[in-house]
Amino acid sequence: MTRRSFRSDVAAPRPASAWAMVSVASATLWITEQLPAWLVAGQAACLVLTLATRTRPHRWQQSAIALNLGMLAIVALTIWVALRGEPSTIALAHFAALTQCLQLIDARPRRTEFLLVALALFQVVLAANLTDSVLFPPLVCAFLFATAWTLVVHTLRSEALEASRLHELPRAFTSGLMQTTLLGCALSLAVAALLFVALPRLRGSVMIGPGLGTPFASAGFSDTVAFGALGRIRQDPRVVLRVETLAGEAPSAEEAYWRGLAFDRFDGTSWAITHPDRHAVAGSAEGGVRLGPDDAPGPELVQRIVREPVASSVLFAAGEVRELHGTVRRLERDRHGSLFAAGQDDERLRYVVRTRAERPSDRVLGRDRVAPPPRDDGRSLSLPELSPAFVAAARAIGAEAEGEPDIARVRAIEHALRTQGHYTDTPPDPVPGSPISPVEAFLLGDLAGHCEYFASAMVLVARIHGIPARLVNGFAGGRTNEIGGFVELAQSDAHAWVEVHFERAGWVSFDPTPPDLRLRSGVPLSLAGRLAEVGSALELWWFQRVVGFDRSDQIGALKSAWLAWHSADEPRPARSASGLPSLDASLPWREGAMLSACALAIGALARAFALRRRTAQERPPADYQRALRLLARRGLLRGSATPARDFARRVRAEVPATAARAFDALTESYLAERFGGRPPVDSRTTLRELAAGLRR
Amino acid sequence: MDPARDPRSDRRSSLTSKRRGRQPAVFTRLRRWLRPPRRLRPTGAGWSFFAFTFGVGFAALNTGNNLLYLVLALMLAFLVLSGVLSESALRGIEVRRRLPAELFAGRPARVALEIHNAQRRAAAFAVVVEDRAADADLGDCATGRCVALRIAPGACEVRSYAFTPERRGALCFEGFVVSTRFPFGLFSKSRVLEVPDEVLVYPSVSRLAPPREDAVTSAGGDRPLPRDGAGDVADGLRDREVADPARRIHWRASARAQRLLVRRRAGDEQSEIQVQLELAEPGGEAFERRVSRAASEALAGLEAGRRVALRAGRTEFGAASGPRQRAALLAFLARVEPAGAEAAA
Repeated sequence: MTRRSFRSDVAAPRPASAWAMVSVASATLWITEQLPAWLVAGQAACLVLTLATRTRPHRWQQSAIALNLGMLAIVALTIWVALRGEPSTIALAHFAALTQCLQLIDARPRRTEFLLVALALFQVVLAANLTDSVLFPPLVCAFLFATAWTLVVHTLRSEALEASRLHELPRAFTSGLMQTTLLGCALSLAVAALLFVALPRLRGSVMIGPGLGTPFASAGFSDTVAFGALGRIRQDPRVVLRVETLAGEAPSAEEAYWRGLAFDRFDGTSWAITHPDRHAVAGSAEGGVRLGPDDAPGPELVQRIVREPVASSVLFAAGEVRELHGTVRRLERDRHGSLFAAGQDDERLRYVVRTRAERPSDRVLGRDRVAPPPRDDGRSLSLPELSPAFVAAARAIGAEAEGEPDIARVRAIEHALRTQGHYTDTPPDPVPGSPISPVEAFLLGDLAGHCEYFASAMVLVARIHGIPARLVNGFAGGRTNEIGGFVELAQSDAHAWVEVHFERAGWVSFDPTPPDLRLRSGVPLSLAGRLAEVGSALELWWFQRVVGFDRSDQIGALKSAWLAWHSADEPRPARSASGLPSLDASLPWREGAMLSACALAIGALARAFALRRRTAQERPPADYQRALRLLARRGLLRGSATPARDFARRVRAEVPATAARAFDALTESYLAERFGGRPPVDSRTTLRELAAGLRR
Repeated sequence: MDPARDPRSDRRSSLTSKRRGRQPAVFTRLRRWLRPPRRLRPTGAGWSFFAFTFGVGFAALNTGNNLLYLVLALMLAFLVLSGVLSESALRGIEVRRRLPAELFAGRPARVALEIHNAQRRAAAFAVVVEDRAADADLGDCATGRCVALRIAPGACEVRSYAFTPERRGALCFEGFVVSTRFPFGLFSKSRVLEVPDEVLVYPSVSRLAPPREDAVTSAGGDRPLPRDGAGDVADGLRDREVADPARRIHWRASARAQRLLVRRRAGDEQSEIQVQLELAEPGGEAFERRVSRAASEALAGLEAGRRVALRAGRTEFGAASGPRQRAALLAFLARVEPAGAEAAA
């Protein structure tokens, strides 16, 4: 065929599915939250208005001048957005969204619908670069259906127009066509899933630049903490960490802490790290990095953590990290043992950590004594300028444990703050111009504040008592997602606590914050909360299985599939050697294979049954078949293409008259039955007559 | 059967081979063997889609963004879906050609195509059937094209196209190219159905006035032929023709000759014309005009109820009337070549 393009311009209005396609494509951009409200509103208004005037467009909608002016305005706006300093992706998103609107407004006859499809597809591609929302896949599925139907309608319309057979068009749009399209799209989704797993993950980074990055909104967790900042973070309900325990016993909500940064210097208004310099950890985190001795005592805990962007490169972990494996390009560590994914502040991270979970007991610590760590230079005992009243009050706290082992002194301070204090996320604002700091006001007041107040107060009190201490922030508590089987930690679970240094045990955690109102897990879930739990579980699945799907997952999946194929009976390893659980552990390969086999067997049975039924319907009646067998013994075979009456005529010439008459009757009976009539004779009797006639 | 359409006709076969015989048989076979079962040609939109897919693939590889991989996978799956649906549109298509009883060069005719969808479940959409014929000068060429927007499973749609043969002689239909741009218009997938057929195209004819009774003339030449015999007086015997009434049969002579003979009358000769065609060079357009003139005169005579004879070189057709004579004369005139060409052949 020589025709490569449609030659005729289609003047008919666009199919309604085109609006569905554009709406879905626009929605993929809307969920990125990168478009301004006026643009989203304008897009929505344009969609509604153009759909309403679909069949009766205004005259100006067919004017090339008006449309070209519109295009000029869009180009100018895009350039303005780019010059304003927005990333190029955002500028392109503006361009795509507005051009799409202009395309819908354009009511001139058109040769192809592909421009509209291409613009919609461009929006989807841009959205893929700007978001990783769990809403993206359903929107893309809807986009696939809408695009397929739009193109089918346009293709048939163009063909009808070219062949001058527009009158046949309504006959072509049947429910069968819609079903075929839907079924085809569903199948293509399955193919897409396979391709998604199989496509090679070869990261090139040839063209990556400032405009092609992933400008996620940051969650607001920083290296340097101004006093009170943590309280503000705690107002934010957004989920920051999702933690799955892969091995070991997960701690309860009251005892679960994911450590982030440790601060050793307090100037009365902010906490900071004296020496923030970090050193790179040797080895590749993507392949797994060991960070501590393997033979250290204590039970191990292996957790997979998905961390949202937190405006800091810090990695959170429960306890002392022995091994880390994940999507960290450059792993760094500071003097306080905090881990960082350098340059990945604004990225979602997925990593698996193996930690030492056991905290030394008070009995063990009772035989130990507090002492500053080596090369500390007095940092863990340094104090800001404090009022005498504060120092006096601090000395009074835990004074009853004076002379006892150090652990008892620390516990006394912790207990005093924990029992006498009152937790609130909204502590009283510091009095402007007051000479005392908020911590001093807290301790000298009624001990009402959030974790940062309690932890800061405990560090200062401990240091006044000569106990080396530092403040640590991170996350604690969280809520167990029953559906996904993981713990989710929101910004509101941000927490600060204290670490005290013992000579042999090292840094040991203490938490002086009253837990009653701090922990979210104590509040029962509402219906909306339950739904959010489902959403969060879906989101985690999406992040882990799709967004975070990487080369190691791909290799693991292929390896698992290969192993499952070749050694179905061998026990499957729970996780890979690197610590990352393989897909084999999470996907029920064997069950899936069995289900597929069952489905295939049922399908084959159903088909065999249908074939048998059809064959039975086409088969001659039993008596006629018996008659044919009787005649076959006499050498009279009926060919497959021989009509029944022709064969009867042949039989008439070969057999005695009585037998011929009987066979004629049987033939008529068979034909009557076959074509829906009532058999005229009792075929059993006639068959006996035929047999008798043939015997003569 | 019309001798012109008889596939066993030797003369037609020789002409066919002459027309087709430009390419060696081995090459033709090899080409047929190497031809893929389906031919896929991207449309303009298809090329754009390919470029877009390539771009998304590049971006996915470059950034490692899994959502771009997802979009890429969907786009590739979309291409697969396009292939599957277009295959379902083409798979069960069978086409039969219904040719008109007579085809004259330069005269429009309609060729009907029966497009049958042999599939049991899947309907075929946007099926374009192109009829292909072999031309001595142009090679394969399309004679016409029909479109069926939807053919239900097991159903048959009849479409026709207008076709005007350009020249007289054997016309070899090779088969059909069935194509579709269903479902998305990204590709034109086609499939070749080999349904060889041959038809004899008669020379172009123009409507002429019936020849005068007193001077029955030749055509192609300009020499009037003498009239012999007049009136109703019996003047010997001749073979019976379809138009002769039974009462004119001479039964005794017929019994002797073992064939039906009728009495010749002077009036018979009066209504007989002989068309003479000069086969001498030059050939080319002048010869074609002579053939066309001869065919027109022969047809005019036959339509006027006359008995027509034809002499062309050493070939002679006895005077007769009726459809058999008409077919025989037209078939001869469809194939006749100038004397030089004949000698060369």
